[in-house]
Amino acid sequence: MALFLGLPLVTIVRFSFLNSQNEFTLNNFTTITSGIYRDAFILSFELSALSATLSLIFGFFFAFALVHSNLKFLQQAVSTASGVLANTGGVPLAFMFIAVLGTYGTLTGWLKGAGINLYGGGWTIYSFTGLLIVYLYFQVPLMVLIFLPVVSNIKKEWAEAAQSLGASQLTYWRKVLLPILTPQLLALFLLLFANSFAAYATAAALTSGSLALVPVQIASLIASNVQVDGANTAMALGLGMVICVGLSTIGYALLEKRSSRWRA
Amino acid sequence: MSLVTMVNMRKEFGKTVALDDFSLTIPEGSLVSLLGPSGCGKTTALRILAGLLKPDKGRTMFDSVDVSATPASQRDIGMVFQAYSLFPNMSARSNVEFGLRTRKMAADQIKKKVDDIFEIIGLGEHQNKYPFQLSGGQQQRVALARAIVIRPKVLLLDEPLSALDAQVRNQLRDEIRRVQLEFGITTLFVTHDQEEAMTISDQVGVMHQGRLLQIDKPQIVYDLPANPIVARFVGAMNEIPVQIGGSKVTLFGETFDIAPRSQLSPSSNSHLALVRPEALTLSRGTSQGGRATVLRSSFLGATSLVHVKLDSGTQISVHLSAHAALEFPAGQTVSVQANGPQILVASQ
Amino acid sequence: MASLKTIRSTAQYLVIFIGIGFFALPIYASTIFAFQSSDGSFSIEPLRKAGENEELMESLLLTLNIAAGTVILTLLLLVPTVAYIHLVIPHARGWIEFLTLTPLVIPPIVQGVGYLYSMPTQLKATPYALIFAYVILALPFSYRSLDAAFASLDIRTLYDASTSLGANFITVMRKVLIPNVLPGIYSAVFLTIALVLGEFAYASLLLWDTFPTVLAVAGMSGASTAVALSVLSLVGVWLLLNAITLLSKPTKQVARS
Repeated sequence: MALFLGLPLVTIVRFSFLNSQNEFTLNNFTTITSGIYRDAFILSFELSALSATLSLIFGFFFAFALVHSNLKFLQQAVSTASGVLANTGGVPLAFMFIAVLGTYGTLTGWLKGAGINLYGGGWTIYSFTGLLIVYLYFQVPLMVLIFLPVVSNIKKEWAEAAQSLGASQLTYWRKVLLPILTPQLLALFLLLFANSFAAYATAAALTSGSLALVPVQIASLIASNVQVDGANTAMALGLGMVICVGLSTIGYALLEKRSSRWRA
Repeated sequence: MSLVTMVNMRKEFGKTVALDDFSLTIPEGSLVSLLGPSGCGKTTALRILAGLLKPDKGRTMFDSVDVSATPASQRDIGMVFQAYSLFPNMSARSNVEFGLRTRKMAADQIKKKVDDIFEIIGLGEHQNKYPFQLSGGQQQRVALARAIVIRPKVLLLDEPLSALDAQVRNQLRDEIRRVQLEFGITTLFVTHDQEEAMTISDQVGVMHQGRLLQIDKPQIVYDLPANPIVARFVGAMNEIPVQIGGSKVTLFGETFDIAPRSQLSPSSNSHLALVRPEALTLSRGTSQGGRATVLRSSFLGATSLVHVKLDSGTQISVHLSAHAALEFPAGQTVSVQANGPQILVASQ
Repeated sequence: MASLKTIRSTAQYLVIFIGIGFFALPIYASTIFAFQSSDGSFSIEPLRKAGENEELMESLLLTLNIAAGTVILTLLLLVPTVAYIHLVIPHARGWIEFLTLTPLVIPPIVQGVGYLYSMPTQLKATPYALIFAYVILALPFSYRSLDAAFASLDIRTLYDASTSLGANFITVMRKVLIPNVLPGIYSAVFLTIALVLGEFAYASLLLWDTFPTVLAVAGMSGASTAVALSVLSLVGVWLLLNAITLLSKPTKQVARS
């Protein structure tokens, strides 16, 4: 682990502070905090925050509805499907969505038949919202995957005790259940944010680099040797990503640990 | 504090009948236990009384008010569960305050009531701790405080001791009884542990397959079980094959009246006498009674349980004072006699 | 009261319905896209094309091999390690779990760049070197599955009981511990396979033709073939997962009782 994780990380850090002549410089950081790279961070940030929020909300209700329905086989099927989508997602998802919502996509066609022309207003699947929709298809599954067991572990005694103490359903949700779940939901938000921020495959396959997220920029810097200090800039961008993703992941782990003691 | 009655309850879960023509009265201020093996319907009865379950049939009354249609949150009940019932996100104190807050009580009044209850329950120094920082026994005490601080019309205890270790269990058991008497709360206590039920209840109801077989003072349920099922479930019981003739039964060469609560099936000619270990005596030698050999003794402190094997091969136990038991070492030949006047008999 | 309940359960089923629709719609729509010819009839033409595409088939085989290698290496490394942690240093569990999260801290694309610029050429000469990277990439998931499975057992007692009966460490692992943690092993295996089948960042940076990277290129040219394979790979892995979950059910119950 030290070799395969530590060495690359050290390399990233080292190269971030060098130019292509291997001289020490801070220029890479000036580069990545301005112009297109700054925009890339903002875009990645927006996409991640939005997709994390939406998938948190949607996954929350879906997990609750599933657990309360008592349909065990459905829960099983959904959780395996979530496992596949959350982990394998990437490239296949991108192509599926070109087939569904692309210019000649099936759903685009159906909607056209129903009088709704998606592409009339200049929208495309290759745009920000298009990418957001596709991201939801691996973000919601991740949320469901982790949140399903949490919902299953909610003790029915809490609801019953609250009821016996005169609390209405609303009071129970407001005063008991949501406070219990809050640290976990915050933790999950951070995890979803990190997951979205780190994702590369979907954006690469769907937009072929036209939507300049941070990972897309890194890959294109590495692939082309046109730019001066290109690789070093890529490393600095990578370090920036590590910081964004790392902080949220660490936050996730700490919050998760905090809320897990309640479950003991 | 109320007189609580459940009338003609019936509840089915799919094909299982959880409650069958179940009626129960809990006199005002008294503690009634429902005792039975798991699946006998005792928890179903408690949950219906709480309003957490809807019966298929039957009514629930608090005093003369029919509360059958009242939801749990408006029934004014206090509940203590087996475990996990404290809200994990709140301190012990906030847990106790919860019921008072939902009743929109003034802050100074809440403070006074909660201070008082912590005084009574004796966890003052732990009141700002969270449930995960408390031991199982402490958690259950907080749960008890939370349930009684609202002065409920009826307190419902659903196996509150079964997740605790023996020592804590006995302590808390006595504590529950003390607090219940102090507040005079009408209480229903559900348990599968007969010792628990016997020690703290005003009345014990024994349940079997959704039916209430007998409900009476602990002593009466023990001494005069309504039928063999109750007799076997409550206390230790020897089962000795016997011959019967008419209304008489012959046991160890003596003839006794068959107790009226016996269950005799006319088609069967194989019968068991049900005799408690303390209703038997031993004597040395083989002068009279049933011949037997002592196998071993279990020392219980003030008393001992002497295990003997009858010549017929049946093994039984006899409860003697520890001192008396010394006279019957293992291997000793003894004769067994039963104390009359009546013997409970069950057909096999 | 009753009406409130009806509203709630209606809302609940509505949410489930929407949720399933959410998952199913793109799969359904893209299946139609992939397999329906312009005249409206269904054909498996795209699959036949894919089958003829040697590059695609080779990449699939390569990815499956890498997946197998990753699974084997993961299990060989992790099962004894997790057992050891639970037996000998249980107090360190929290820290070790924290440590296993580190691959999540560094995005795969960044790991890939670092790998590209730091590893000796031998480790870049064959696509099978990816196995090492993937074992680490999957570590947060595989470790957690195994850790949870071991945590649900009273492993100390099981271990003491078996050694008191004369078994050595290997025998205890083989006969007692592994059968009891099978559900955890299964889930570690699924998650690892799912991850390898989808991994794109490393493979594309190191220019290896694994299934995802070749698929991505194929997607640019012949769309319906790429879509067909996309749908098939997702649905296929999902069905496989369900099948193995069903098969592992009885073991789960044994482990619980």
